[in-house]
Amino acid sequence: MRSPDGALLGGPAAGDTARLERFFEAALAAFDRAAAVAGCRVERVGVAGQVAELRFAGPSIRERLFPALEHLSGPGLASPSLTISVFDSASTGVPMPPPAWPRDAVGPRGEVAGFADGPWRVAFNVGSGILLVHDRDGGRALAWTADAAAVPYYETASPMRPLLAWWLGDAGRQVVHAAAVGRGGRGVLLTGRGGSGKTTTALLCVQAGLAYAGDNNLVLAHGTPARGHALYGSATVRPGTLERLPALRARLRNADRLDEEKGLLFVGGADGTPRLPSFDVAAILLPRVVGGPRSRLEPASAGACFAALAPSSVLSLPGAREAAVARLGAWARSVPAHHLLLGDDLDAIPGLVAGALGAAP
Amino acid sequence: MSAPGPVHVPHRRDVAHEAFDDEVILIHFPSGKYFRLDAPGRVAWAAIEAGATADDVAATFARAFDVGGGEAHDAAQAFLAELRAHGLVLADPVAEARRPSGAAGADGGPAASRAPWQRPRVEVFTDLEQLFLVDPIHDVDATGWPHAKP
Repeated sequence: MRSPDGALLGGPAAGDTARLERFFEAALAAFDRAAAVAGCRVERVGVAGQVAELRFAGPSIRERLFPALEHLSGPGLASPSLTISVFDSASTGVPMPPPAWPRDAVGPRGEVAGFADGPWRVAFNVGSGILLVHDRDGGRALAWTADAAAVPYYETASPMRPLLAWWLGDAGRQVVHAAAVGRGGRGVLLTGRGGSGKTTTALLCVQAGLAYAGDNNLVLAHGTPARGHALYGSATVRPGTLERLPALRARLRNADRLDEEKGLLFVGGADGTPRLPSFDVAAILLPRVVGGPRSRLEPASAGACFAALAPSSVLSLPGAREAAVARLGAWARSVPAHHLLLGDDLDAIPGLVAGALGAAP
Repeated sequence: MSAPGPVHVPHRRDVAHEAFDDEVILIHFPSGKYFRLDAPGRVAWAAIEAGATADDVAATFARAFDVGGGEAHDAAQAFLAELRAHGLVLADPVAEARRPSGAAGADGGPAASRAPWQRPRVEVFTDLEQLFLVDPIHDVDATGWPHAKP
């Protein structure tokens, strides 16, 4: 039986902040018990000038959620502005308290009604099973899932993306849906719909010697020129990319599940690929597979750039709205943009990208 | 004198937009669709941002483009209906009651200063809709946590 607002009668109501605060404290207490049982590993990561501390209870959840972030860790990072406590129930044996919102409060982007943009933000992605809670004023956050072993490959590729986007957004940074490669402190963004050729282009460029910043998510910060920052050291590849770049197969983490999943690999570091942690954004390229004998660059309008960059960046994140759209509009106006029309001459593509970068291929 | 018709305003709760030189991109959050308005649409959208009747939109067409009042009005009506159908604007009946009839005239300037006319076009992009096709209705386990239905 439901009340008019959809809440289960006798259960939690949407947007009940006091109840959420009690839930959060109980969840942190559960994390402490999980850490006591399974051990606690603390990592610090720095991205776009911001530092977060991640506290993993036990190795199982760390193995799923840290590899794509590991490239951001290192000595000498400043005090964190966010501490994320991360655990799962299956590997630690510690249950999570029941949710502090009605069952139908979870929307299609994982947003939890009533906690979209206030002092508390909550997202629960039913597909990945990842709960994220952000206490903005307290600089604290929680990431939890029922079973680390069930975390899907795409969460391993881009762990805790809504939470990191919230946190970085509060510091004026914007997580965008784009790939990036570059050299010498300069980089180009590759943005467009899924299947447009972002990842293939990025990995072709890496093969040709350019440094890698990411294949699906980057962080942009204001500056003159705009600054880009790597977020995840992963790539997810479609079958077509594997056909064009067969050498990648040996590096896949999920080669036995390609009938159901995109291929997952980690790029940079151990495999010898140079990384591009931060860069001046020299251009935004909008790849599109057109076929034919000759790949080429053509000028793109600011509107076309915005249409390629903004909708997929903001629609896939819970809570991201006007401020994010305005930021993306400003970048679309200020950074040169080109259509990158991808032909069959794969070997020529890195040269075109390097040209847009203002560097030799 | 005929009533001015409802005042149309952007559906700000559901829509974000950015305007560029000769186009506007609108993002509709509930559906995951996004839209491109061309140059006439950009002119009309600027009027809608301030609140506009069909007469107001027709007047902006007539000022900016080489188009007569009848065609401008028909195009404005059709354009607003399309925006309403996509959930991009709201027709505000309260504002309608407050506005005088014919608040903005449809007279254009000299034709030589106006751009060639074409009816505004709304391009619809649906490639991101799959982000919203995940069924938010899900099973709930014994502790109350939802999980995706198999």
